[in-house]
Amino acid sequence: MLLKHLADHAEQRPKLPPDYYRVRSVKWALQLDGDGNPMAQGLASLATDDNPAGFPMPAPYVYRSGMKPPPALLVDTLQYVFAMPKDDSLGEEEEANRRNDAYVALLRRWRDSAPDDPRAAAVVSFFDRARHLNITLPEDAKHSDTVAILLSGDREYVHMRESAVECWRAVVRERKSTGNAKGVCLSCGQIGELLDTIPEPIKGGAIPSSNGRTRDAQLVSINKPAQGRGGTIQLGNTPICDRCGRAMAVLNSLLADPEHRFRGSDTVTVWWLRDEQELPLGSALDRADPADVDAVYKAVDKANEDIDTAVDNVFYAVTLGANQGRAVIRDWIDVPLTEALQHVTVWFDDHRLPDPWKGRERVLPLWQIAQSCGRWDSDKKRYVDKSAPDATYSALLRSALTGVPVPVWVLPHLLHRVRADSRIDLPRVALVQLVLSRPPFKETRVSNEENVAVIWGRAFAVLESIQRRAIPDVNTTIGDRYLSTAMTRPQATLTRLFPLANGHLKKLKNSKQQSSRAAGFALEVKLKALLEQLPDGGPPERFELRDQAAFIIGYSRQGSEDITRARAAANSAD
Amino acid sequence: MTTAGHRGGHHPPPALVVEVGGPLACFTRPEYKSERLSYPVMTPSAARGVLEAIFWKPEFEYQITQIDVLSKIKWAAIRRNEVESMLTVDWVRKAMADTSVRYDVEDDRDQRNMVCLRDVDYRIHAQVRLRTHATEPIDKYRAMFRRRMDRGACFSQPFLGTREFSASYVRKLTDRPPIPHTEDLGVMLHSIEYGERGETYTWFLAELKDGVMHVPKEGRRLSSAEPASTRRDA
Repeated sequence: MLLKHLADHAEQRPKLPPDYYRVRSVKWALQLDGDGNPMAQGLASLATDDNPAGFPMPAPYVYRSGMKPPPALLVDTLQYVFAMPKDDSLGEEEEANRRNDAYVALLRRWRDSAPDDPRAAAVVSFFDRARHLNITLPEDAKHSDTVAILLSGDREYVHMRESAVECWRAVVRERKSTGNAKGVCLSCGQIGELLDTIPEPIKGGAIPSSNGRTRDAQLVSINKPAQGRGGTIQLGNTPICDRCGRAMAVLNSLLADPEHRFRGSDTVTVWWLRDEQELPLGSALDRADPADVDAVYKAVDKANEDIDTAVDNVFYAVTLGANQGRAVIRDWIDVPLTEALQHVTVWFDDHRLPDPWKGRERVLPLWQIAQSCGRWDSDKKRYVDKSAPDATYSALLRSALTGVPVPVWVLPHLLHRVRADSRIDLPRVALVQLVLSRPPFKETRVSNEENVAVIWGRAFAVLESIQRRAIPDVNTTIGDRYLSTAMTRPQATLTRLFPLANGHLKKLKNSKQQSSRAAGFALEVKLKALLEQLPDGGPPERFELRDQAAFIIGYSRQGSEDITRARAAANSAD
Repeated sequence: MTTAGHRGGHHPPPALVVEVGGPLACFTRPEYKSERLSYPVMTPSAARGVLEAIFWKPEFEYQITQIDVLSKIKWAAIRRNEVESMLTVDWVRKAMADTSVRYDVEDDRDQRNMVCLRDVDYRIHAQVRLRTHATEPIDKYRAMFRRRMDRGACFSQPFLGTREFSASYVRKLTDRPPIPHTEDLGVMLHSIEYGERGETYTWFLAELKDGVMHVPKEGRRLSSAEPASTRRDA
């Protein structure tokens, strides 16, 4: 159904290139007059500072391979257009000539298919008179550079003319179909012209790869006997029509659209709706802009209204990875839009946190939460790039879109990083809160407030506040030094810290400064209030994973409340 | 196994009903055979395979009429090391003639992903259709099937789409209702026919409606589909 839903989406996709066209970087433009004579000796460069590889434009493209790869219509490399050899060897010169002959033959076919198009006649006249062999190629031109053709007075390149689009469509169908055979397509169930292979691959680089090497990838690729039923390769046992083959253009378009894709370290997820509507889902999840987040909540309300009128929209998302030249479907979501949006709003609700510095609750960008599983560089004050496990981003995205729990490996990994880095920040607390709020824990904010580990976390934060107040210029706080052991072996750590805190409190309460004395008494009251909520017997000997997570929640929540209270006090003093 | 929905008269006998389930299942979509992606629901072809693993005779065939989905559709992804080539008769002949021929699996590796289903439970409804050469009454085979089900017997291990994903069946039917899920499943494999020239496939437009997929009696052969020449025939 994936191919069918993608193909169905083509009509709603704006600016989709013509059939079997793809946005390519074109470095050179050959300018001809109306009679097919070159306007200037040489080629005009289309490279700019912004686009050093050339100007991006839709151009004929189809996957080609083999010993004699065929040409594309009108837009191709200098090797095809001007017979520019790869090097000076005889073999390469012969190959360049062969490619150029094939290119010119294809141009003639275009001219013959469009006898009323004067531009086709002009272009072919240029090549028939072998004028292309006399063009002086710039020194920095390479045989692999792409060139397009522009006629004087025209605003669009020749390959965008309707006659060229039609001709190229016919050529591709011829190359990729099984002798123009018609039959029932396995994807859409309709009768159509069946393909031998899918003509258009997924553009290289659109699917990230953990090793950094990317190339064109085929979504439907059956090129080994073990992959096809009965050892039949290609689409022999999997008839797919050329209409469904167009799904790849839609997929490439979605992959190129930042609003419709979520790009992880080794996978990319694209999403779309059956009936297109304004929905800033990408920016809400990946940038967490408050306006976009609000828009998602409003979309849920609207979708709920649509349910009553039985016109519920459908949400589709596919997660792709790459296995060399094959695209791998890692996940496929096909759910009512209401359901998908509800999952997303639950995702926001589950990790929404008060931000004491901004004085309001906020949700965090998905990438930031995923990044917090990585290593913290205390010198550069940021997370080390790519230090989080590859699967983190896609796992969290799946959890956000489908409502499934965060994978079980995330919590132990995150706790390990918290202990190793001695760092707790908003993204890490948000992730801990997410994990705890979903199965198997299913903690609510109310229930985890009564958790013993949460209260010990709060107490630890108060002990740290006492130390800061007593020693304002302290270099290393107890949070820096003891967080790791306090959250795993609280008895051994906290029992050692309480006598120290008593000393600090005594110092504060006996201080000559009124503010310090008041702070000492206030902190003592706060600590006692927390300890009164705890069972007798002191801290437990050790905290398991769930308790360690709860300890982090308590520690963070206490710190956040203290900052909020201090800011409010400062504001009222002003 | 049990029977359900007796209608009497000239109507067919009540359907055989079997509940099967397993921790993993993959009913591969034909267009995603390389990097496998499963249908969300068991195919009739796979259901027939499960029944035939329990009891089969050349005198009859199963006609799957309905499949109920009893557990929420859940997905999982697995990546495995597989091989690129298939065992062929030619290769076996060559290996028999030349004992120095070896197959080194490490030279033939192909890593492939599978997006499969997990924790599946289905209720299969089927009819027994006698073949022309059958001489015994249909009730005999139905009774044999029932006895084997009661004993928990099977000729081979039933599986859910691929042999690695074993299926288990319950001896006593439950009253679990189908899940409240509706989805257009697209073109689905109905059955595979094995002929002298190879395999041919029939298809139908599948739809899951409130957790129930009705299966037509016959699937459609694609107009362009010729019997696939398998390497086994070579």
